Amino acid sequence: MKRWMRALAAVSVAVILASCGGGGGGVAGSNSTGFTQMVVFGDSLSDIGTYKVGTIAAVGGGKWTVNSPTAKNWTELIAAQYDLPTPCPAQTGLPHVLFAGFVGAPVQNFPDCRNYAQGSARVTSNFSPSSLAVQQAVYQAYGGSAGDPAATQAAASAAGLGLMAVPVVTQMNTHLSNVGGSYDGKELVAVMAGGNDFFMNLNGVSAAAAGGNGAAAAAQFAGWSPAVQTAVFAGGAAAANAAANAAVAGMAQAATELATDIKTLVLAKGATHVLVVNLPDVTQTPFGDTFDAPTKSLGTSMITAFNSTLQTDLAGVPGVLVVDAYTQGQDQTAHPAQYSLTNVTTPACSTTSPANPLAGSSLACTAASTIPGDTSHYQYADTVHPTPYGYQLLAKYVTLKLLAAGWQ
Amino acid sequence: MKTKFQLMALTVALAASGGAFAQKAGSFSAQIGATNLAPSVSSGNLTAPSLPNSQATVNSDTELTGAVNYMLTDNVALSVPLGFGFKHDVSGAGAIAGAGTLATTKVIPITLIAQYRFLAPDATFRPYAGVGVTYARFYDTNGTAVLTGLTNPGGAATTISFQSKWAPTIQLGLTYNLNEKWYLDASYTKTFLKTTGTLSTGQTLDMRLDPNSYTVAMGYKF
Repeated sequence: MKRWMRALAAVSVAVILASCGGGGGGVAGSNSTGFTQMVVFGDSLSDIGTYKVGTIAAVGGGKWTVNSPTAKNWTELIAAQYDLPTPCPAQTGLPHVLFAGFVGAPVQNFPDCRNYAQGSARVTSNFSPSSLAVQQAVYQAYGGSAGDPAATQAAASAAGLGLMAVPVVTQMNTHLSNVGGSYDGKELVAVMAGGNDFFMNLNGVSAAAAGGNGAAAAAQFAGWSPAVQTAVFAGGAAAANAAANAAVAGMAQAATELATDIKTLVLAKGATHVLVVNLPDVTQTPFGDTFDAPTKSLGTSMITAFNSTLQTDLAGVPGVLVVDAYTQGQDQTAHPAQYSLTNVTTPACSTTSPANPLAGSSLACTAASTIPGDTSHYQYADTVHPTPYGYQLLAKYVTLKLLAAGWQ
Repeated sequence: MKTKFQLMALTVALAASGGAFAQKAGSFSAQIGATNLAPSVSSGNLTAPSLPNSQATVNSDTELTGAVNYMLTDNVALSVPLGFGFKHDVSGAGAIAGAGTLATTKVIPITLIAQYRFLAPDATFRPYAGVGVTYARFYDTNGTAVLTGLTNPGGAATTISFQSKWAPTIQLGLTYNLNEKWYLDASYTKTFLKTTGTLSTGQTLDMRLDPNSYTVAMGYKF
């Protein structure tokens, strides 16, 4: 009898120990990878206030979304989720606005801030939409005279905001110089770019058929070879064809450059966790909805060229996680209700509200300048940028991929 | 933990006190052992906003358990299994497989089973079959940072609760009488349990848990 009792006690103790030992702890902090900060390179989709100065700051804008004190970019949400320091823009300013009554600000650098993303930034080229580089190029085309009203008018029309739009490659180099040349391996690095390469390449295509100086300039801004610039100068169907081919090749090249920059300027400098978000499907944005069928088809080829090249060039590279925002965004467009999206085609920002000095651009859009009705679950703030809800959906998807990759 | 020791002490005390009786009408028996509770999960999809096919799975847990049985007749018994709370991890599945643990929860299954025990009260082996009802009480359910990351990244922590439910239960078991007083018991219990997880984001997740329970125990007849 006693023997059985001892055996019973022994079994019970073993069970108790087993039940206490299993499954404890480990749920409080999501950041067991040991990230200490988030470093962000990219364009408007990751920009958290580069141009939040002057008039834009005064109206409550600054991010490329429906701005409000609580509106967050996806990069801010990821940083908060990982309990990382609140990111801040590494550079601010708007040094040469050409719109009457619109106040800018000198360029200021913040070497302790780690979000280098700037609206309008391309991978390598300075010739970005509404950029300072395009503005200056237009001035130069007019003989370099800043006082010439015709030159100013042309520059304002081409790129009146004069965005710094520091390209991603320069952003990466700036970070290296800010941190003494190397990463410590505890950074979560986020890279998302390509949209502005898309816009400038598409702009080159749009201008090609007409030929002449306009076509040649657009080709130059896109970054095409002198041969293609000559071809589009001639105009006509051959020009359009050459431009379309150059645009697809240009996107592939941008992706190759981005992948090379990630390898040589980030990974080779000690970074160990680089999150690369690919290019969403611009043809499914409200901007893309305005495309005719051939343009839509070309746009798809351009984006596919960019994303597939990026995927190929980064495949199997240790320390890189490529997140497919392209496919995920398409799913959101195809099944809005699944994501509690109430509208995936109409921009939430009004193009006519007097409260938005940039006529519907999300950069200066706030709750005071949205269209009537509840736009809180719209996908798009303006013709290409997400609402805060759209950014949250992106952040959720990115978080899932980070967790699944064990970056938690 | 304290409760477990108290029950052990109770069992031991009972063991020390009793006289010998067969497993027959009017007799009580008490047993203590271990139960492995293994949910057989069929998950619904997390409601919008979510990735399509966002599902969850639940792992098994083994805990100290007991039971008190009363013989209504020589063959019909009422059994009340006693559990102290099984702890389970709820993990992502389907589209969110690999994300990790979404929540931890505890459940106390409170069960009453009517058993038919075959063969004579003094037979060495007595197989039995039972049918009953379980009230599965979920408590101490905590959402993890993973759950927050998937539902409200960078925002307020997402909490979750599971609905406590009644569920039908069936049982098959076998008793091996070591002697007049002591016996070993092994049983398999199936509970047909559905529950709904409700998140603080307003999303819900229906889950059919249908746990299989495997129990081995040692018992004493009074």
